[in-house]
Amino acid sequence: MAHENSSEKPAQAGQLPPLVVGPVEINRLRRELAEIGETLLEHTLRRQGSNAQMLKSSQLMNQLVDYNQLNLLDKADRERLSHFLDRLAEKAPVLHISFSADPSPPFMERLMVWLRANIHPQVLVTIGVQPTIAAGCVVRSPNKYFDFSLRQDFTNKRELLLNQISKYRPGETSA
Amino acid sequence: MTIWWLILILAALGSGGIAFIWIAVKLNHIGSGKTNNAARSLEKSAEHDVESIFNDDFRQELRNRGRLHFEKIISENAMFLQQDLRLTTSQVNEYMKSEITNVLKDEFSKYEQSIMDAKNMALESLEKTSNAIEEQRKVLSKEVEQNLQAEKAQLLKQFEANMAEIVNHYVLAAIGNQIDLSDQLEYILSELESNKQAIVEDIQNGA
Repeated sequence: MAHENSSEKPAQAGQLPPLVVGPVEINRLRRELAEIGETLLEHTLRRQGSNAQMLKSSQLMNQLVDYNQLNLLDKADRERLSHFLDRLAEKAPVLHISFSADPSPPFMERLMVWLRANIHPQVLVTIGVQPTIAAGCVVRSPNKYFDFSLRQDFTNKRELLLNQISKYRPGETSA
Repeated sequence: MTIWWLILILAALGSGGIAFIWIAVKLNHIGSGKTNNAARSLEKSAEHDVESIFNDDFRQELRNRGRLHFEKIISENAMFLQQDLRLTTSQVNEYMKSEITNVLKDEFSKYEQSIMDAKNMALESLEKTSNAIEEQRKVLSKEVEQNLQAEKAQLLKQFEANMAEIVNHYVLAAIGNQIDLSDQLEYILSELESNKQAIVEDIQNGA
C-alpha cells in the first residue's frame, strides 16, 4: 500500500501528483482518507483472531502518499495529509479549462505537470468540453478569460486570412 | 317829295297788275267750256261705234279664239316646262351625283386622314410606351444592379466580419473528428507559456 515509515518526512505534506487534477479528486481523497482512518481505528478496537477487512487504497491515494513520502498507517501522517487536503479544498487556486473533447489521462498528466511547475504548485483544474472550440482550449482563471482556441486564432489572424482569400482566383489551383 | 312819287308809282303798278290778272282769268274760263262739249260728243259717238262693231257674236268668237290660243300656249309651255323639268332633273341628278361624290370623296379623305392620324397617334403612343418601358427597364436594371452590388457588398462584409467563425466552422466540420487533443498539447502549452505571467498574477490577486 503505502510507504513504510521513512526517516525523512516533511513537516507538512505539500505536493500534488499529476493525477490529482481538480476539486473532485481532492474531495474524493478526503473521503477516502477518512475511511482509511476509520478502518484503522476499527482494527485497533478488534480483538485478535477476529476477521478483519483488508485495507485498500486507490491509485490516486497511493500516488499522493508516494509523492509526499507519507505512511497512512501513521496517524500523524494521516492528520498531516488530511490537513493538506483540507487546505487545498479551501485555498488552492482553480483554473477552468475547456477543450473540444474529453482529454485523456496522459494529456492531463502532462498539462498538470506544466501547470504546477509554471503557474502554481498546488493549482487545481476543472475540465469542460466545448465542441465548437475545434482546437486549442479556453482557460478561465478567477478573474480572467484566456481564449487559446482555433477560432480565436483565426480571429487574430483575420488580416492574413483576408490576404489569402483576396489572392485566391477561381479556377486557379495552388501548386 | 321822292317818297310820294315812289308811292304813286307803286300804286299804279299794282293796279295794272290786278287788272291783267282779272282779264286773264276771264279769258281762260270762256275757253274751257267750249272744249268740254266737243270731247263729250266725240266720246259718245265712239261708244256707239264700239257697240255696233264689238257685238256678242264677235265677242264670243274672240273668246273662243283666245281660249284656243291660251290652251295652245298652255300646252306648249307645259311641254317646255316638262322638258325643262327633265333637263333640270337630269342636271340635278348629275349635280347631286357629283356633289355626293365630292362629299363622299371629302368624307373618305377625311376618314382616311382620321385613320392616318389615329394610326400615327397609335404609333406615337406605342413608341412613347416603348420608350417609357425601355426607360423603366433601364431604371429597374440599374436598381437591380445596385441592389445586387449592395447585397454582394453586404455579404462580403458579413463574410469578412464573421470569417473567423466561418473558417472555424468549416475546419470543425471538415477535420473536426481527425483533430487529436494530444497533438494540440504543444500548441496549448505554448499559448499558456505566452500568457503565463497574466495567469499567475490573476491567481495571486484572486487568491
